[in-house]
Amino acid sequence: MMKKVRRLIMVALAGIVCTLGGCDDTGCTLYNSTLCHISFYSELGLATVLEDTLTVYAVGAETPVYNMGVNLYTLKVQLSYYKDIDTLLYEHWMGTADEPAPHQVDTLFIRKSDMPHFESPDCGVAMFHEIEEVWWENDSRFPETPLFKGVFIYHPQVYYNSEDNIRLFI
Amino acid sequence: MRRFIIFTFLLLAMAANGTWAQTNGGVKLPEGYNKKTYRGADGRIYVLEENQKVKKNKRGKNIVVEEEPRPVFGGFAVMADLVGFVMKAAGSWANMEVAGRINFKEKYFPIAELGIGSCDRDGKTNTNNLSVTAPYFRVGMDYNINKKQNGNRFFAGVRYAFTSFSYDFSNPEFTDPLYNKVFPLYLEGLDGHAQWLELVLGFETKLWSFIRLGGNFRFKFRTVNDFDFMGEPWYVPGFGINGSSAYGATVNLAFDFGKTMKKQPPRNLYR
Repeated sequence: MMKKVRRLIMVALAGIVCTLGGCDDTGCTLYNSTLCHISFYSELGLATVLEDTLTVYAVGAETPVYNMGVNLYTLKVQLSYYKDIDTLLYEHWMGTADEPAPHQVDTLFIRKSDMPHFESPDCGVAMFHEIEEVWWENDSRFPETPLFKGVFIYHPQVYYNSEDNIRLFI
Repeated sequence: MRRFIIFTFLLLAMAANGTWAQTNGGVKLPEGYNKKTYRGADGRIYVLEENQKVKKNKRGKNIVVEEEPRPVFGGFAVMADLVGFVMKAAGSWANMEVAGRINFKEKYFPIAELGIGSCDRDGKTNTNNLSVTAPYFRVGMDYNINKKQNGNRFFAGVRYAFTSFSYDFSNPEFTDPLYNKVFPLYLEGLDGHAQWLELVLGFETKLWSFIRLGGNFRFKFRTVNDFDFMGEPWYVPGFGINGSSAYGATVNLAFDFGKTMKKQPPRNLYR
């Protein structure tokens, strides 16, 4: 009887060692980046659509942060990781192939602070942002038809969320 | 006839008085007298002491056996977990711990555990690294559910555990996707604090003299989890991989000093 008990205990000890070398779960979030949500609103405060073609550039970046979008409610824009102020150029084009039109470029400035955020060594590292101030400049070539008429911060924290961060009045 | 009447009268009087109201093993005892009795082979009634029990022998006959009385202070033990050192050598994280334990009546085992938790984990598909090395503490109690004194112990116990620690996280290839520029990330000295409770099921057997080998399974559930806003530590010293709950186990080599319980051979004290 005693031998059986001791044999059982030894088997259980071996089981413990095997169990401890078991599975490993990464548990990464489904979101892999933090994007700033910028939505378009009418002067009446209603969500609206920017129908014509819009391309957004970040000053200094090689590629546009948003390319040739039409019928837009919201833009999801990547912010920089280490610049205090991001300067975004909104290039608005209302022409067509048959009727070319000049490109109107309004500028949006975003002052923010950055904070890296990690979850696990196996997951990607994200950069959280806290938007502190936003302001804009209209294209001086088109004083009659400004693209931007107002802007305010709706939700300053740019984390893993899908809420509007900035609302642009057009 | 006269004797029968007097005897019946005395019986009724004693029953009415409550003198023999209590029975034990078929034997009437005075009220308040709660010791067990045993009818020996000679037909006499014997009163059993607290450490005596009636058991059946191999032939199926009742015999009385006497267990060695359990001392209030049965000694103490120092233990080391063998799994932690193996995991340290083989894996990316480990809880290496030693423990001290006191034996009260071979039933109650207050225990204190002190360990060092260590983790140096690289990301599987990236250049992330998490590094933690910090002490942790546990206090609790084990209860030996094995009533037999045969050298084996089966434990059920609880622990309260806590740790305060600093952790580092780095990614030397952290890249700004907007400007495609590398900004090495080194976050050092982030503060963490955790508390948790553990439910323990364990066992232990005697190898030789005062040397024992045992093990236990633990279910841990976290009660406090404070960490830096920049990121939750993937590993908590003593707890393991961070989460609301975790499983754990140890294999303990114990040096048990004190009065060792030996198996008592059954013998018939009252024939």
